[in-house]
Amino acid sequence: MSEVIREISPVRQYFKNLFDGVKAIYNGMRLTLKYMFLPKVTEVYPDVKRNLPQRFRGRFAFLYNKDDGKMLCIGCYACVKVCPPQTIVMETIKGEDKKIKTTRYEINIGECISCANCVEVCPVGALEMTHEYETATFNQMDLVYGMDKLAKYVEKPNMYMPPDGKAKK
Amino acid sequence: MNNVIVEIYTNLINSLPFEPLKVILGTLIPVLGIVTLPLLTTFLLIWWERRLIAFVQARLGPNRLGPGGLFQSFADALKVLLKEDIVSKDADKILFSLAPVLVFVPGILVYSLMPVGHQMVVTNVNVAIFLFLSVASLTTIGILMAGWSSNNKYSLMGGIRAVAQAISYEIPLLLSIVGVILLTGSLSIVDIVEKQDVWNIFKQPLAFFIFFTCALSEVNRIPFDLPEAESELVSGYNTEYSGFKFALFFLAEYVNTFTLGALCSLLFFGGWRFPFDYLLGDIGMQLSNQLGIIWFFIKTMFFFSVVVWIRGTLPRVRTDQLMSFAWKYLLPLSLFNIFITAIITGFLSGAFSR
Ligand code: SF4
Ligand code: SF4
Repeated sequence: MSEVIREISPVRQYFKNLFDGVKAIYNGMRLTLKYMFLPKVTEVYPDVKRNLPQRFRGRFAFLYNKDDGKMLCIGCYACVKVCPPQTIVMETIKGEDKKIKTTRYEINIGECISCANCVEVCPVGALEMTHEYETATFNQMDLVYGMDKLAKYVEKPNMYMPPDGKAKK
Repeated sequence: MNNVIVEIYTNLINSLPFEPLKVILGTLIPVLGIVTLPLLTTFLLIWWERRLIAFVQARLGPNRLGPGGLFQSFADALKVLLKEDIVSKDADKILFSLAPVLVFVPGILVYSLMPVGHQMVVTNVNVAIFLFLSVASLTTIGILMAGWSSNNKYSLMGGIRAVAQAISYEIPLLLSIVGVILLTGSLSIVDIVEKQDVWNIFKQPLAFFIFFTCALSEVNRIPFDLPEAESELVSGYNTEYSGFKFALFFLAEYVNTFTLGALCSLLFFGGWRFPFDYLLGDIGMQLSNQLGIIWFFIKTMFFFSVVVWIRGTLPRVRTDQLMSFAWKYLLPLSLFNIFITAIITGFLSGAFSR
């Protein structure tokens, strides 16, 4: 098979180049003109905040019952074991009524990777990932959240819904 | 018909008590105007360019400081001025310091020749357009000087490129204006504007496109920004500059781009004249004469916006493309344009019928 190369005379090539150039510039300019009036993709972040999805994993919360103010945690240490960066620090005592009571519950949200393993594993639904994400501080120690800072009062335990849609109880 | 603003100004100067005061203030006020006006417009231009280029790229651009981010350029200017003024060890100290000034001064100097409104021109020279372009082309010397004195190979490359580019593009630039001059029969910008009852763009469209392309190249704007190509030459001739000297280069670039827009509007789009004012009779004349500065500014900003729009669209050309474009396309086309214009104006003025 022989390739047929069409010879264009230099004069025609010259005008073709000119025409092609003008056409290319015209097309490009038209496109950018269109983009000038299209809606902008920039999010004006602190002024306008995004709508977060329902299962967004932000800061961590330690739940208390709203009615009687008691903590939901039963002190089973499941969350401590399952936490990948091992950032949950927890202490319990056995009270007079032989019930285990959590006296210290701390996480360092700088270390927390927001994996929600703890939330998933908690048998009583005493933990929750909130929608709060502006947690920057000037002092590194402020990132350690104790029970007071993690506290959140809720009406019913947070029954984590795994992706298959079936609740764990 | 006199311009009210000019009349008030002239009366104010004339009502001063002493003769020396008249002379001093009469000189100082235009000079201050020439120096401060470009600087103030530059702040506006920088903001406008950043906003517009952001719009082209579907972004928002600076919008936090002041109304719509207008004060962003003031903040940036302040930042640049607070930077350390570094002179590299092996640089040619005198040339290094002189270069930014030499780039900046011609850019500002041409404002004295620019009629911004009816009778609103600092010096009405009768060879204004010639002087305008020759002063504007002095900038290239400053750029080469900056490139050479930096003692940096990238800067030198940038400077050399600037000179090569300026030499190639100055010729079609001047030749494209010849068409306008032939139509007007005068080298004075004021005359050129005053004779444009029908804007020159309708009579000289080809010349306008050639002029615009070459001017774009003269001010080193984006498709032709080879002397300061960031990606190849680490911003070329101004690599070694910092602080105030860099600010001067930066200002010069914007001042020159504004001049580009101003020349486009003066030579081809009727300068300060309202569109088709001769059809509106007396009202049109009043619109042009009294509010001329507004129309002039709108037109100039429009061309500045076109420059930014081009910046958002076109990639940088290669050096060989740049040269072949100037010599193979623009130069013949501008010669062709002169030829046609000369024949037509010759016929119209009856030069051949004798
Ligand atoms: S979300 Fe993950 S990393 Fe954070 S505390 Fe729970 S288990 Fe640990
Ligand atoms: S898994 Fe739940 S109940 Fe068990 S210790 Fe952690 S928070 Fe308390």
